[in-house]
Formats: sequence, C-alpha cells, structure tokens
Amino acid sequence: MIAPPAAEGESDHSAFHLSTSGEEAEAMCDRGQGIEQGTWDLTECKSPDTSSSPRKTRCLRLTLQPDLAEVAKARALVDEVAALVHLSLSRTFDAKVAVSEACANGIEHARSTVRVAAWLLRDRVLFEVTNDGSFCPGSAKRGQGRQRGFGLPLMASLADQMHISRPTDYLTRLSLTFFVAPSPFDDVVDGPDHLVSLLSAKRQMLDVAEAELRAAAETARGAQRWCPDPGALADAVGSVSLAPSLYEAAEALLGWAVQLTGCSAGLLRLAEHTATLDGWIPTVAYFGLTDCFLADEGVIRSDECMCGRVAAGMVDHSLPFISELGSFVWGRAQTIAEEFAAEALGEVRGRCIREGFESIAIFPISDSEARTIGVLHLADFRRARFASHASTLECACRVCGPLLIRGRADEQASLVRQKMAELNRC
Amino acid sequence: MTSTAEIRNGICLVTLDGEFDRASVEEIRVEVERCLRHASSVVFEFSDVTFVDGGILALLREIHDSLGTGGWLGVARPRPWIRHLFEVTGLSAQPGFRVLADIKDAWAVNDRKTNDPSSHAPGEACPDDSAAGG
Repeated sequence: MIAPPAAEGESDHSAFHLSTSGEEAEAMCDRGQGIEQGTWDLTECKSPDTSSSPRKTRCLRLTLQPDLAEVAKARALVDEVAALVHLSLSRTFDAKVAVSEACANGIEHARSTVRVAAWLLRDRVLFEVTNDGSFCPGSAKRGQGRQRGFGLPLMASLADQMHISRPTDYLTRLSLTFFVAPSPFDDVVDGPDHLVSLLSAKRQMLDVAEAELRAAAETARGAQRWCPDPGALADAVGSVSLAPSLYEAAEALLGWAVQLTGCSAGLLRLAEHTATLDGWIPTVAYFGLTDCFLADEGVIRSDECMCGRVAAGMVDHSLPFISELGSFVWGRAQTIAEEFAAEALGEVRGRCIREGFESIAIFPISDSEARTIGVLHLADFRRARFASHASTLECACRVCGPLLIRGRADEQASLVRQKMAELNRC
Repeated sequence: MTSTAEIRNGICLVTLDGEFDRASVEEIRVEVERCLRHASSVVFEFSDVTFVDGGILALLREIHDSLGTGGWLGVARPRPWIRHLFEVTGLSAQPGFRVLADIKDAWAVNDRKTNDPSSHAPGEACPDDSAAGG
C-alpha cells in the first residue's frame, strides 16, 4: 500500500483534496451516481463529453448494512458480474465464496456497513470490499470450542490474488482479483499435450523476462550516470525489485513517485501484452483518485487522450509540454486550452482538468529496447509540481519497465505452479 | 433454502436445499445436535445445495470433531466446486470425514463401522423434534 505523501506547503484546494479521499469520496461518488444502499447499478461513470469510443471500465457497487442476512446481496452482485464477463460456473462459485467471506468478516468483526465495488477490467474482475475499522480474520477457535477462521484461507485459496490495504486510517479494504481473460487453464481438460504447450508458452515468457532483467541491470548502470538524482533512482529500483507481484511492483513505483514529488494523485498503466502496445491499457496501481475518476479513466485506448498518446509515442516533441523522451509535463493544466490551439493538444477528454488538477505529468514506461509498455501518470491540484523531478521520473520509468515485465512473468509462473498443484491433487 | 433432519438406518440424515451461509449455522447446529442424541454419525445430503460459505464449513468441522468413537461425518453428492472447498479447508483430510457419491453409500459405511445399529426405524423423524426447518 502506498503511504500518503509528506505535506508540502499550503494547497489552494486542500478542502477539495480532503473531501475526495477515502470514505467521503465514496459517499460523494455514490450520491453523484444516485446509487441507493442495498441496490446496485451498472455504473459506467461516463462523463458527458468523453470521446465516442466505448468505455471498457465498468463498476458495480453495493452497500450492505451490518447484518449477515445482507451478504446474500453481495453474492447476487457476483452473479451479475459473472454473467457480464462470462465467468465459468466454478469460478463464479469461487468468487461468491470469497466475496461472501470478505463481507461477512466486515459485518461480524467491524460491525460496520460494508461497501462492495466490482471493477470489470479487461482481463480481470476486481472486487473491493471496504469496511470501517480494522481487518480481523478471527482466531482459530472461539468460545465453546466452536470452529472459526476459514474465511482468510478460503479467500486466499479461491481468489487469483488477494490484497489487504488500509486506504485511510479508518478503513480496511480487501481486494480480490479473479482473472477472466481468455484463461488457457480453463481448457486443460484437453489433455497433457495441451498443458505441455501451455507451460512451454509460459516458459518463453519467463525467458523473455529474464533477458529483460539482464538488460535492466545494464540500463540501470547507464542511468545512474545520466539521472540527476541517482539516490532517488536507486530507491525506486530497490523497492520495485523487492515487490513480490506485478501489482505490488507497480504500487512500489507509483508510491516512490508520489513520495518523491509529494503529489496528490497518480496512477500506473501497463499494456495488456508486453511490447505490443495496442488496444487497451488498464490501470494496475493508483493513489489519491476518486472511484468516479478511476471508472472513467481506469482503462484507456492507446490512441486516446494525452495519456494514450504518450504511451503510444504519438506526441509532437516540438511542443513545450512534451519532453525530449516523449513525456507530457505541464504545470498549468486549467488554462492549457487557452494557451495552446486545439490542434496542438489533439483530442483530449479533459477528465483530469475537470477533476481540478493543475499539474499533470505522464511518463512513458519502457522495456529494455525502449518500447513503451505503459505510463506513470501523476497529478496535483497545485501548479508547477513536476518539472523539477521530471528527468528523475523519466529515468525511473525507463529502468523499472523491465522489472515490471519480470513481475508479470512471476505472476504467470505462480498461476502455472498453482494449476500444476491442482492437477497433481486430481 | 430448507433443511430437514431425520434418523435413517441409524444415521442422522440432514437434507439441505439452497444456499447456506453463516446466517443458517445456528439453525442447522440445533437440528444436528438434537438428531445426534439418537445416532452417532451424520450425513448431509448436498445434491441440492448451491452455496456454502466458511461458516458452514466451520460447522461441518465442528460436527466432525464432536463425534465420538465410531461416529463419522458424510456429505453426499456435493457439487464439484463445493467438494473443492472441503479440500481447501482441510476437511477432506480428516479421518472421520467422507464424501459420498450416493446417499445409499452411507448405509454401507455404517454397516461396516458398527454392529449396533440404531433402534429407530428407517425414515423416522427425530423423536423430540420438530425436525423440519428452514
């Protein structure tokens, strides 16, 4: 989880900033969407003047009262999600058990209302179950010899990924990920030959990642020479290298950038397929952004808005807000449309500007051959926040790209190991 | 969601139908405890169970651990993904736990395990009960 940035000066927007974090932001968002407690709606959070392209992020929400009988509503929500993303019957069941456990835990131990958000991303469904207070998995046994404590192992076993975080001091969030992208493992019944070919494909992926890692070491050595802040760069590489999964590696890089700049918000996008940046670029880590913003901007197309064009390298280097390495860095976003012609800016959705951000920076994240695989997007309500750190951030994005590829390969390898273990049990 | 408990062939047979979670635990526990006054083993008929959560799995484990010598806990005809939960939670590895392909297998297991079948006739409801619930 990402620690909040150190306070740095007074913000003109401090009231707004405070009101858009944590619980209040969710309340604002829900009011804005007109969602009632105990019901849910397919919320696309689509801004009125977004581009005409179809949005790929969808978010379903539900609020449960602190009553165990309410948990059945969360299971109905999972059924709804499963139908939308064509989750298999067995995976739907797994998701229902895991989400049900997370909700029951919040109701039983925190005795608070529980908010469930289901993010329908391109290759996965992410269920976020948020309650007031702290996470309490329960002890192995409670009074009178009665059994307890299957919740945590069930969630960890059934979800493809599980993450516990505290987005604020008074909230606990359990995030449960279920991959829905064409899962080759769903068809393993085809026999051992099929499994061998799958493993071979994953092996190739790992080989590519190993090569990336070797190249990354070389890049890092070079970057130490031209990076204006080698100490900060070393911190970034260290924290990303130590992260045990892709998500945590992405969070580590974003968290480092947030700490370095003291900015209000940020997100990190990674392309679906390494080195073939086409189609959609989902968000894999975020900080300080409202759920509505994420629902609008969680997934973008690679030629969409400034973020997509930086990722695709489709930028005009002669413009003052585009750096030599193709990053977008600007400190007066609220008036950018007055300072530059629409043709210079290109098609932009303006979502960051409507959110109130003044400083916006978008850095390409690249692999060892300088092919873009994603972007680091930082934002702040104050002016001129990023220019002084831009070169260091560019260095870090260049060096950490291969490390993120390695994280993705490790994640795949873990799925292979898990599947092998299941097959061995059969 | 319904549950019924009865003594059949000397075994406490609990038939569940629908989704069951923590909210149902106490009701099932009471029925099983009442039934177990007249039997040493319990078999749950799961063919119409569409969902169970960790609370129900913990109850099964608790029932398993409470059975005396010679007693055993069976679950008949669970759906594959529910059976997977028994493995995930370690229930399958317990010595007195069995997954049965058919409820008739329960009688065979019991015949092998005990020479002292219950005096209750097949299909007889639990004597002090009100067994049907849900």
